[in-house]
Amino acid sequence: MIHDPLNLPEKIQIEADVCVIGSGAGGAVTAAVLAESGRKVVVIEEGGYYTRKDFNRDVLDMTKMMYRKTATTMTFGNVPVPLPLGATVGGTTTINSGTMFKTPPKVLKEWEWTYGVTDATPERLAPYFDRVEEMLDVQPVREEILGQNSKMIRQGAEILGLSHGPLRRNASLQCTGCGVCCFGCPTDGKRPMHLTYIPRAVSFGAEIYPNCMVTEILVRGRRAEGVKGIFNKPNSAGHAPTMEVRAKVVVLSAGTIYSPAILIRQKLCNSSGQVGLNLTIHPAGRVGAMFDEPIYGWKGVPQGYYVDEYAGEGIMLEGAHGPPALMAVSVPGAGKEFKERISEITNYADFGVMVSDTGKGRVRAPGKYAQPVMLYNMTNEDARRMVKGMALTSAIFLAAGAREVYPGIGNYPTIRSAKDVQKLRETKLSPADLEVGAFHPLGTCRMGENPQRSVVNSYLKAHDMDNLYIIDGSPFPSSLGVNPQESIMAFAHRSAEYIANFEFK
Amino acid sequence: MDPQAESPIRLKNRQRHILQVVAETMLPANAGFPIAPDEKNVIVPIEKLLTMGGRRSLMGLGLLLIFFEWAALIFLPRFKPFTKLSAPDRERYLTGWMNSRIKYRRFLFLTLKALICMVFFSDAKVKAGVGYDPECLVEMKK
Repeated sequence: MIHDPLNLPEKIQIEADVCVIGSGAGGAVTAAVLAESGRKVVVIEEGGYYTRKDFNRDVLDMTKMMYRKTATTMTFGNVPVPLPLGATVGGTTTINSGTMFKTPPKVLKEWEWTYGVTDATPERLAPYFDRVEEMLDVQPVREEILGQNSKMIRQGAEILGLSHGPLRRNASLQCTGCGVCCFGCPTDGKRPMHLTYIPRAVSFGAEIYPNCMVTEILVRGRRAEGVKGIFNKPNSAGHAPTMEVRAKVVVLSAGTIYSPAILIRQKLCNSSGQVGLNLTIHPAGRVGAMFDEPIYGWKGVPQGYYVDEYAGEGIMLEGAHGPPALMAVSVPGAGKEFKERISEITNYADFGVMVSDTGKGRVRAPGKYAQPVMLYNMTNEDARRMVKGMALTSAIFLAAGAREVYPGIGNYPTIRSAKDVQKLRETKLSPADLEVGAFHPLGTCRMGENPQRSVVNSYLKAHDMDNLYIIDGSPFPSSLGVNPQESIMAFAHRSAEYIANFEFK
Repeated sequence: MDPQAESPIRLKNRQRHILQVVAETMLPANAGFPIAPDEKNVIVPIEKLLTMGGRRSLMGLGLLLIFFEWAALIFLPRFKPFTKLSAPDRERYLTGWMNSRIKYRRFLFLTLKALICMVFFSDAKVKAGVGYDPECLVEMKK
C-alpha cells in the first residue's frame, strides 16, 4: 500500500523485516525483490507520490513538484556544476530520460582489479540485467518517435562514418515521443520505478510511506535497529506525523548525495574515512546548432540517440533536447543576438557530451538539518576530453547541414566550418571555460572487500555494521562512462537476493 | 496552479524592476513572439519558483539583482546603474557578463538567463507562439 500522509495518525510505529530508505533505482528494486521473497518491507521516501494524472507537461510545475530544491542543487569547485536530483516516489527514474546501459565489462574489470570487488563479472550479473530489462520493457527507441534532433545526428554521423545508434530505454510501445521524459511521463510510456518495481513491491505487501524524511537511523553497537522519520506534509488534523520503524535489516537507498549525508551526520560506517569521498558525476556539456529548416527538437524522445565513437576514451555523445522552457537558455547570446536566434528556436538542435570523469569530489553534511554540500573539481584531462567530444559533435552537426554551431564553452566563437572545428579541437581550455552540468552522481560510499579502503562489501553490506546495506549509486567505486540506472538496478537485485538468502535464513 | 496568483514571498520593488529590465533586454518584445516579458510571465513565476526552494533562494536572487545593477559602475564606463543605461549599453553590459573571463560572473549570468527563459517559455502564449504543444504530441499516437 502507498500511504497518503493525510490519512496517517500523528505517531506511527511499525515492526518490519526490512526498512528501505528511498524508492529510486536502488530502493524500489530491493523492496520488490525482498517483498516477493516473503519479507515484510517498509519503504520511506522523502518525495511525494505522483502519477500520470499529476504530470501536466509543464516544466515549471513539474520542476517544483519533483526536483529536489526545484532543481537548484549543484556542486562547487573549479567549475560550478548544476546537479539536478529527483525527490519523488521512483526517485530520479521518474524524471530522467530513461536511457539504459549495462555496466561496461571493462569497468567491472577495473572494480575487481583496483577495488577488490568480487562476484561482479558480466556473466554473474547477466541474469540480473535480463530481469531488469524484462521488467522495464527495455528496447531501442523506435524510428517513429526518434525526432528530427536525433535524425540530424544520425545523418551527420553516417556522413562522417562514425559509430552511432538509437539508445535503449525503459519505454514501452505506449511511448509517444512527446518529449517531456524529464518532467514525468504523461503517457506511462516510460517505465520508471513508480510504475514497475514499486507496484510489484506493493503487490507483495510492501508498505510505502511518501513525504517522510529520515531523521535518524537507530543504532545499537554494530546493528541498525530501525529508522526514525518525520513527514514533510501534514495529516488531516494539520500535524506532521512522525514515524519509527523497527527492522531486522536497514537498507539505505537515498542516493549518492543523501546516503553519505545521513551516515556523516550520525558518524556511521566511516572507519575507512571514505564516506562522502570519491564523488564522480559524469560531467556533461552540450553543443547547439542552428539549421535552415525546422527541427522541432522537442518532438520525439529527447535522449534518443548516441554516438559512441570515442567511448573507449570515456566520451559519450547522447541526445539532449527538451521543451523550449528548458532549451531556450542553451541558445547562446544576450541582447539582440540572442533575440534573433531565439526567434528561430524551432530550427535549434542540441546534443550532449558526457565524459567518464577522472576528477573526484566529496559530499559534506555540515549540520543535522542543513542540506549536504557537494564539492567537485573537474580535471584538465576531463576538460580536454569534453572539448574533444564537443568538436566531434560540432563536426556531426555541420555534416548534417547546420548553419551555425555553438559549443557550450563560455565566450567561444560560433563554429561555421570544418576549419573552425579543427581550431576547437586544438584549443586548450580549462574546466572553468566550460558550461557543465551533471546527472549521474556516484561513488560516495564505495564498495570493495578491504574495509580500510571501502564502505561496503561487494554485496553492498556496510563493513562496520551487521545489518545495514547501502544500495544506490554511491557504492560504485568509479565512473561508469554510461548512464547508471540499469547498473544500480542490477546490483540492487543481486544484493536483495543476498539479503533474502543470508539475513533471513 | 494558478499562474496569475502572487507568490507568498516577493522580491522588493527595486529588485523586481531590475529583473524586469534584464528580461526586457534579454528577450524579444513582440518580435517573433506574441507577448513581451512582463510581471505576469517573468517576475511572478520566478518568485513562485524560488519560494519553493525556500526564502533563502529568493533572497539570493535579490542580492544577485542588486549586484547586477550596481556592478555596471565597475564593468561599464558610464557611471550609471544598469537600469539607467541606454538600451544599447544594457545589451553591451549583458554581453560583457556572458563573455566574462570570471567564471562565476558567467555562471551568474547563465543562472539569470536560465530563470528568465524557463518561466517566459512556460507561458502558454509563448509556447503556442513557437509551435510547442505537448498535449497534441501526447494525443497524436493514442
